Amino acid sequence: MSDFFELVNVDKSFGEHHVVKDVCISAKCGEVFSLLGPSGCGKTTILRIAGGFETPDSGSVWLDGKDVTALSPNKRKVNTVFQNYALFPHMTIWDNVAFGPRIAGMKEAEVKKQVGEMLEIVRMSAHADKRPDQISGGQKQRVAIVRALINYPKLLLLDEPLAALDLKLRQYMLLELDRIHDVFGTTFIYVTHDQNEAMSLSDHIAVMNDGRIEQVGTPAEIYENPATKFVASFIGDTNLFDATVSGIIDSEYMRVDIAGLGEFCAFNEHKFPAGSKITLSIRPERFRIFADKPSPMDRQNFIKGKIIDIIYQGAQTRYWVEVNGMRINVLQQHNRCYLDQKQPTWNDEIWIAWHRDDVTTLPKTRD
Amino acid sequence: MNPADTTAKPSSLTHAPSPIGRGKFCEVSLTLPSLLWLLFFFAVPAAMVFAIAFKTADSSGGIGSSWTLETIVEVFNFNYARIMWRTVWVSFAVTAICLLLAVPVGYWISRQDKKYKNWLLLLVVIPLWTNFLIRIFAWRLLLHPDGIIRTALVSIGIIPEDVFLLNNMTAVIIVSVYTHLSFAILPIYAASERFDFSLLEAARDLGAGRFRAFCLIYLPGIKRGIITAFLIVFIPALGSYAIPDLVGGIDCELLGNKIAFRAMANRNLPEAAAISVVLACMIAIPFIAFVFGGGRKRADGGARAETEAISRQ
Repeated sequence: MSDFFELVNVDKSFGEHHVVKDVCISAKCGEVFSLLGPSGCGKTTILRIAGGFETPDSGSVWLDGKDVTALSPNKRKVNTVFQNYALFPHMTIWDNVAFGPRIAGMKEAEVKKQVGEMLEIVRMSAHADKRPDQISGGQKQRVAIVRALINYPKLLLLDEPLAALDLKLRQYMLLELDRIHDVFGTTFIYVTHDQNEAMSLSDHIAVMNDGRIEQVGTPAEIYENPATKFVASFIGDTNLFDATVSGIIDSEYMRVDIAGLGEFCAFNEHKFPAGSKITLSIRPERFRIFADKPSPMDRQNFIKGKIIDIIYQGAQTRYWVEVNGMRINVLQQHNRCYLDQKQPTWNDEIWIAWHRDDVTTLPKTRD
Repeated sequence: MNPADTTAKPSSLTHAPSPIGRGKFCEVSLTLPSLLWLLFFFAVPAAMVFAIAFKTADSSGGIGSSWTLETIVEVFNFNYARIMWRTVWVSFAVTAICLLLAVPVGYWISRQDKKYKNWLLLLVVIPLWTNFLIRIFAWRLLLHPDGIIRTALVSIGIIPEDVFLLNNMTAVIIVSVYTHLSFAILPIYAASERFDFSLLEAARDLGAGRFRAFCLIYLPGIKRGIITAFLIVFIPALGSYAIPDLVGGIDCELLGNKIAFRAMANRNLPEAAAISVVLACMIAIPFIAFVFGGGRKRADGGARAETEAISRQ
C-alpha cells in the first residue's frame, strides 16, 4: 500500500505570511511520518490542514484514496494529539476517553468495555476517576493519545507531543509512543522540532524550512546524505565548507579546493563538473585526530591545526580545531582507556584526518 | 551573648513555627476592616429588619413596643402568594433572557482581536454611566404607543394594532433585561476569556459538531461565569420595584413594590420588614442548600466563586 495520506501542492498564507509553500508529502499506511523543522517553519499549519482546522489556499489533501480537503474536522477519520493535550478539564479521565465513542453514538456498555481496554493499554486504569489537573504531564500525554486512538482513526496527528515534558520523561514517552504505535499500527504524522525524537520514531522524515519541504527520506538518508545545506546543519552537527571543484579524478572522485584550506579529495556523488561552486559537509565524528603527521593513508585527507577548545562530554569529547583561521568541529568517541592515554590539550598542534567518502557534497543553490 | 547564640538565632527565625501565629494576626488585621464594614452595614441592619418584622406597628407610622407573629403570617395570605409567584417567574424569565443574550455576546467579544476587545467592553459598560431612572424614562418614550419602536413594528406588520408595549409585563421584562444585561455579559466574558478555545478544536477533532462542542465543552467551561451572571441578575431582579413602577401596569406589581408601598406610603414598617424577610429567605434558603449541598462535592473553588458572587450583591 502506498500513498495512504497525501498532500498535493498545498499552499497557505495568513495575511502577509506565506507559511506553507507548495508542499507535497505522502505517507504510507501504518508508518510514522515526521515533519521536522525549526519553530515557525509551517509544520504545525500542515498538521492543522491535515486535521481540517485550516483549509489550504490551494492544493488538496488525500486520505485513503479520497479527497478530504473540504471535510470539517469532525467528518474526517483523523484524530489529533494536541501540544497542550487539550484534555477537557471538567471531565474525568474516563469521560475524556469516552468522549469520541459517545459522540459517535456507541452503546454505553460497549463504551465501557473499550475505554477500559484503552486505559489498560496506557496503564492509566487506576487514574480513571481523576480529573486532568490531578495527573502528571506524562499521564496527560498518554490519556490524550488513547482519547484520540479509541476512535480508530486512519491517521493520528501528533503536534509536538513531548515538548512539554522533561528530558527523562521524554525518553520514556518515546519508547511508550513506539509501543503504542506497534499495538495500533495506525499511521502517525508526527510534528517536532527535535531531531532526536524524529530520528528515533520515524520511518520517514520530511525536513521543513520556511514553509518548504527541504528533503524527505528515512532518518539514515537524511543524516548521511542531506540534500541541502539547511538539512545538513539542522540534523546533527556538521562542518560546512564553501568549495570549488578543481578537477575530476575519475568517475567517482574529484579534487575540491576549499577556500582557505587547500585542495582535497572528495566523493563526487552528484557528478559535478570541474569549476562548480559547491558546499561540503563533514560530520564532526568523521574526523580523526593525530598528534604527529600521519603517513599518507589510503584515501584520507589530512591537515594541520591547533586545538583551541575542548568540551569533555563523558562518552565523547568535542574539540574545536583552528586551521588557517577556520574553526572545525571535531568529535572523538572515547575508548576503553581514556584516562590512561595522553589526550590532546589546549593549544596542541595536531593533525586531523578524514576519509574522502566522508564528505557530503551539496550544490550551492539555496541556503 | 556567646557566638553560638548569634548563629542559632537566624536559623531559629527561619524555621520557627511562630509564622503561623503571626500569619493569623496578619490575616485578621487585614480582614478586620471589611469584617467591621459587613458587621455594621450589613449584619446589624439585616438583623434589625428581621427583628422589626416581629414588632407591632403603631398608628403614627413608627414601630410599636410589643412583639407579634401576625404580620409575618399575614405575608403568606393568598394575595401575597400571587405576587410572590409573579416575582419569581418574572425574575427567572429576565435571568434566562439575559443569559441567552449574554453567552453569545461574551463568547463573541472574547474571540475578537485584542485591539477591539476593550472598545467592545466599553460599549457594554457605557449605558451604566447614565442614571438608571433616566434610562427607564427613555424606555418609556421608546415603548410608548406612539413611540418609534411600536409604530415601526406595527407598520411592518410584526405586531398587530391592538398590542401595546408599555405599561404591561412585556415592558417590565424588556426593561429589566436591558438594565441587567451588562452585568450578565461581564462575568460571562471574563470566564470566556479564561476558556481554552483549543478544547473546542479537540472536541471537533473527536467528532463533535459545532453546536455539540459548544454545549458539551464551552458551556461547562464557563460554568462559573454563568452561575455568577445568574446570581447577579436574578437576585436584584427579585427585589426590583422601580421598573414595574415606571413601565409596568395593573397586575405588574412585584414584591419590591409591596415593600416600597408599605415602607413609604403606608408607613407600616413591620409589614415592609416582614415581606423583606420572606423575600430574603426565598433567596437565601435555596442558595445555602446549593452552596453547602452541591459545593461540598467539588474539591475546587466552585463554591467559593459562588459565595464571592453573593458577597458582591
